[in-house]
Amino acid sequence: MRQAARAEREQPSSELILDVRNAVHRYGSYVALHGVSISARRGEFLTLLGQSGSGKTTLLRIIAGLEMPTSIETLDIGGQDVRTKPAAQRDCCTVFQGYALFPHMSVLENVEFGMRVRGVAAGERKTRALEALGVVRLQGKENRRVHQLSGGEKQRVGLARAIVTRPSILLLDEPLGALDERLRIDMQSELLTLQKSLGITFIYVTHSQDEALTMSDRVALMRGGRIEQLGAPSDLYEKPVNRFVADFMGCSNLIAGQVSSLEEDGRVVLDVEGHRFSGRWTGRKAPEKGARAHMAIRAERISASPGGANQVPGRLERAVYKGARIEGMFATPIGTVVANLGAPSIPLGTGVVLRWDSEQAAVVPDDEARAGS
Amino acid sequence: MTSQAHSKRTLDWDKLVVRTFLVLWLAVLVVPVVMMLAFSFFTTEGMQTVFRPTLETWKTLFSSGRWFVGVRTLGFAFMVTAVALTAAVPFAFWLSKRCSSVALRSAILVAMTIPFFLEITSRTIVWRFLLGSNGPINRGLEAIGIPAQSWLLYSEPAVLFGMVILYFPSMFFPIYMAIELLETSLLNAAEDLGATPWQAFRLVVIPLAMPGILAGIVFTMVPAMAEFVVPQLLGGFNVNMLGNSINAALAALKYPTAAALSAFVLLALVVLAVMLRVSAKRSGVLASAAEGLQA
Repeated sequence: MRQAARAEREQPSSELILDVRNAVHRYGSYVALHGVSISARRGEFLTLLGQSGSGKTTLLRIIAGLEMPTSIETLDIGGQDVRTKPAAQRDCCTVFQGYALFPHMSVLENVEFGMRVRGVAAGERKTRALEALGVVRLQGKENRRVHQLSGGEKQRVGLARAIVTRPSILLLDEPLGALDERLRIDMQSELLTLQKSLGITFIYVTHSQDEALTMSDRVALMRGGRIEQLGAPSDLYEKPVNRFVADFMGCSNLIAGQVSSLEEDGRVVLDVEGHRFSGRWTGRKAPEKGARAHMAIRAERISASPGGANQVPGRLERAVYKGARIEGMFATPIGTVVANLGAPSIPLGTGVVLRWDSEQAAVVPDDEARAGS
Repeated sequence: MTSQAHSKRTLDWDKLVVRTFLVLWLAVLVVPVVMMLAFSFFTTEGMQTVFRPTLETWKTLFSSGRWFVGVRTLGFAFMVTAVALTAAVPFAFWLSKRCSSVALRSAILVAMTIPFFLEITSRTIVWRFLLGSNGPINRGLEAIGIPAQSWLLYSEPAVLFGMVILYFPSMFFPIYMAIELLETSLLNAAEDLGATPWQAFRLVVIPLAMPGILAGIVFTMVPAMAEFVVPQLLGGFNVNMLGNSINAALAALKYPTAAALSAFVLLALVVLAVMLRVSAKRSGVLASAAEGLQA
C-alpha cells in the first residue's frame, strides 16, 4: 500500500542539489560522524532516521552551516561549494526542533525576518509573508504574538518563515516531535503536500520509523555516526542489510541461526537449533556458509493456514489486543514467535503450526563489527 | 457555609498584611522623602534651622552656582552609564554566547563579583597610587620617552575612569542574566535565515536583552548620581559632585541646603525614569521583552 502511494508521487529530478562526501565531526574525543557521505536530488524527500546520538542532527547542522565539521571532502549545495560559507549564505533553511521563533516579534515579523535582513522592501516583504502564511493555512493570524499560538501553529510559522525565502533545500529537525499524535499525522500529510507543491528538497530528521516510511523518497538509517542503510523505504522495510536495520524498522521476529546452505536463486537456508528455514539473503556481502545470521520475519506475514516453505509448531501463550490486529506470542522450539491472529481469536494454549513463505523472510547478517574508532 | 467563613477570614488576614505593609512603607520611605522636601524650604541661621517656609535655599542654590554641580553630576552619571553600557553589552554577549571555555567563563564571573565584597574606598584608593605622578603608569610613560601626564589623577577623566570601573559590574550582571536567558537556537535561527552577525545582534539579542539593559542603566545611573567617594579620592578638590556638596552641607549643619540638593537629585532621577519609561513604551521594547520572557 505504502509503495503504491509513493509511486503516484512525482519523481524527483536527477539534478543533484546536495552532495556531502566524507563528513567527519568530533566533539573532543567523541566522534559524532565517521565520514558520512550522502546526496539528494532536487525535489527529493530524504529522511535521516536514527535514535538520539546517531549523528542525524549533527549532519543536518553541518549542512545548514550551524556546525563546522572537523573535516569534510565535499559539501555542495546546488553545485556550489559551501564548505567555508556561513549559514547565512547557504541556499538552505532550517525548521528547528523547538521552532526557535523570535518571541519579541509578531507572527508576520517572524516570517518577514529572512527578507528583512536581505533588504527586501517593506511592501513586497509583507505581500510575500502573507502569501507564505496562507500556504501554511495561518491566514488572519499574522498579528498574533508568538506566545498566543498553539504548538501546531508555531510549527506552521516556523515552516512559513523558512520557505518564504525560497531556499533550494529545507532542513527539518524533528519538526513534529513536540506535537500530539493526531496533529502529527495531519502535519505529515500537510508537509508532503507542501513539499510536492513547492518542489523544494526536504532533508528531514526523525527518530520515528513510521514517519520515515510514510513520507520519504529515500531514508538514511543512521547509527553511531554512520549510515547503516540508505534506500527507498521499501528497501529498508523489505531488504534490511543487517540485524540492526531489521530491528529498527520494526521487525518483530529476529531468529538467530547459522547459514547452512546457499541456493542459486539468492536464497539461503538457516539452521536454527536443528530446524531449517529458507529465506531471501538481503545482506550487503554474499553469505558465507556457517556464518551467524538472523531470520527477520514480520508478525503479519506468519499464518497458521497451509502453504509456505517454513513451518514451526507453536502454542499460543499470550494475546495482545492492538486494535486493528491481535498479536499472538507463540512458544516454539526456536523461542517466542510473534504472529498476528485472525479475527476469531483462538484460545490460549492452542497448538498450531506457524507457516511463512521463504519470499517473505529476510535473512540478514549479524551487525558488522566496527573496525577501529 | 464553613468554607465561605473560612475564605472571609483569610481575606481579612490578607487585608491586614497589606495594610501593615503600606503603613511601614509610608513610615520608612515616604515620610523621610516628604520631610526632606519640606526641609529644602527652610533656611539656616547661625547653625540653627529656621522653620519658616521660604524659597531662600532654592534661590541660593541657583545664585551660588551650586545648581551647576547638579548639572555636572548629571553629565558624569550619563557618561559613566554610556561607557559602562557600551562595554557591558558586547562583553556580556561574548561571555554568555561566544566564550567556549567554561573554566574561563566561571573565572570571569567570579572576578566580576569580587568588587561587591570590597569597600569602595579601599578599592578606589589603589588607583591614586597607580595614576599618581610618581605612579607606575607615569614611570612607564617616562621610560618610553613620554613626559609624565599630570591629568591622569585629580581630574575629570580620572573620576570618570574610577566610576566606570566601580559601576561596571552593576551594569554587566543584569545584562548578562538577560542574554543568558536568550536561547542559542534563536541566534542559530537568525543566522540560518540570512542575518549577518551584526543584524542578529541588533534584531534579536538587543531587543530580548532590553529588560537587563534597562535594569543595568538604573543600577548604574542612580548610584552614580549620588557618588561622592570616587570624586573625592580621584578628583581631589578639582571635581565637585552633588554627593560631595551634600556631604559638605551636612557637615556644616546646613540641613536645608543638603535637603535641596538631595531633592534636586531625586527630581533629576524621576525625570530620567519617566523619560526611560516613555521611550521604552514608544518603541514597545518592554512589552515585547516581557513577552519574550513569558514564552
